[in-house]
Amino acid sequence: MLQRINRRRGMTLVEVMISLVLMLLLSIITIGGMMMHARMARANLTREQIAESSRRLVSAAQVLALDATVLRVDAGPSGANTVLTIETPDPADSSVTIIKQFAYIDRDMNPNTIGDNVVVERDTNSPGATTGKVIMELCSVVGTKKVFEQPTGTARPLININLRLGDRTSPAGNADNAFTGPGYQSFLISASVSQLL
Amino acid sequence: MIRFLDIKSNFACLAPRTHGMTFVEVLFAIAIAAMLSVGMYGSAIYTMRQTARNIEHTYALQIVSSAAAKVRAANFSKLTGTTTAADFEHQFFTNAPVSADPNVVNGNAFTLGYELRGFGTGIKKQNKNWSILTIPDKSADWEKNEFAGHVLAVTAGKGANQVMAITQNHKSMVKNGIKTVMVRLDQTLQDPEAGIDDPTDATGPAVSWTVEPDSTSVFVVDYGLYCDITTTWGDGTGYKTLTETVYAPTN
Repeated sequence: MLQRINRRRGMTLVEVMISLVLMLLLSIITIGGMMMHARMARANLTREQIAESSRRLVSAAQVLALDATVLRVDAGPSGANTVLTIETPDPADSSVTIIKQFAYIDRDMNPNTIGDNVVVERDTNSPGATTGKVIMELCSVVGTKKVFEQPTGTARPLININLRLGDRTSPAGNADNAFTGPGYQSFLISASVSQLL
Repeated sequence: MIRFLDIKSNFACLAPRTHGMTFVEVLFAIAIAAMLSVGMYGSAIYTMRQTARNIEHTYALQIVSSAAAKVRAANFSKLTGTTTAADFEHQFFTNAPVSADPNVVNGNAFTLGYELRGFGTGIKKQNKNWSILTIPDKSADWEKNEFAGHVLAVTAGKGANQVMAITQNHKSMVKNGIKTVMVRLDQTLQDPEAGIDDPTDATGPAVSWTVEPDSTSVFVVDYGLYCDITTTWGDGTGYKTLTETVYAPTN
């Protein structure tokens, strides 16, 4: 009883070494985990942003197309089938037509670089223009598919949208990772829009 | 001396601590830190899985809304008739797997299904209020009062170009291999709740067709049809379903 109360010694060398080794291992695990957490959080955020960006384009095109009087695919600065034109009547004055154009633009005309590829929207009928509000970046053509494609055999105009946002391959190549960050961050737009009436 | 020791042992816990942690205390602290670390890893993994689920849901929305666009663009006569494999409309009669992103190995496959309803051929008068509609086997079942308050239009066959209001409808049924549904019709649209839910009841104003329809009469609801589009993905606890109903007008 007296020995226990009056104990004044610290840990033995073996105890200290075991403690240090355990703490070292735990630190490695914890710091590694925190770094992984940070990387994953960044990757997750990028994936969510890419998916949301895609959803915005598809949703905007689908809503506009429902009321459209004209739904067509034009040639743009980046080649044939790269511009989607939607014409809708002005709710305030049905004799006036509102135009919305979505154009895929590969600024350097090099399909191997995604950093300068954008989708722009504009309110003018100017398929050949490169101007407009950028609504999507880091996009690319999907294989040999047309960006905007109008299939035949339908009763009303139907437009298929084929685009990829982010990394083009999985695992991602260095060229794409330079823009999207490490890991596979990508979203495939394979959507369709059509008129209601 | 004994008294002094007793007092000291009684107040030992209040005395200033003069020694370091014991080995057991250090191990205990490390164990707590390890548990926190495991929790952090778990949180990171959960976040990653949740993000993947969000992306899958966005893909599912894209698949369903695109399928709705295709239904709207389809030829109405082929939606309600027969198709061949070469027809655009043929896809609506098969449950096809859809790959959201072919780059993702072991990614979830989405299954897309269509159910069309709101059309048929054959109107037989049961009594002065109720009629029996014949709907195709391949079309989806009608739920009770699903089309109450909607419009029934005869588009071809005997009695074409006439319109009636559906005030009530029973659930569709199959009898002798023929799928039928009983509907209460009226010249004007009435409150479905105010109607009589008895197919033998013939009170109230009689339905008065200018030309009485028969088994050749082709009818549609609301000058079109309705299509339930369903996409499913995942399995086990991760099994998910997303459904959208789209209206496809005649063209």
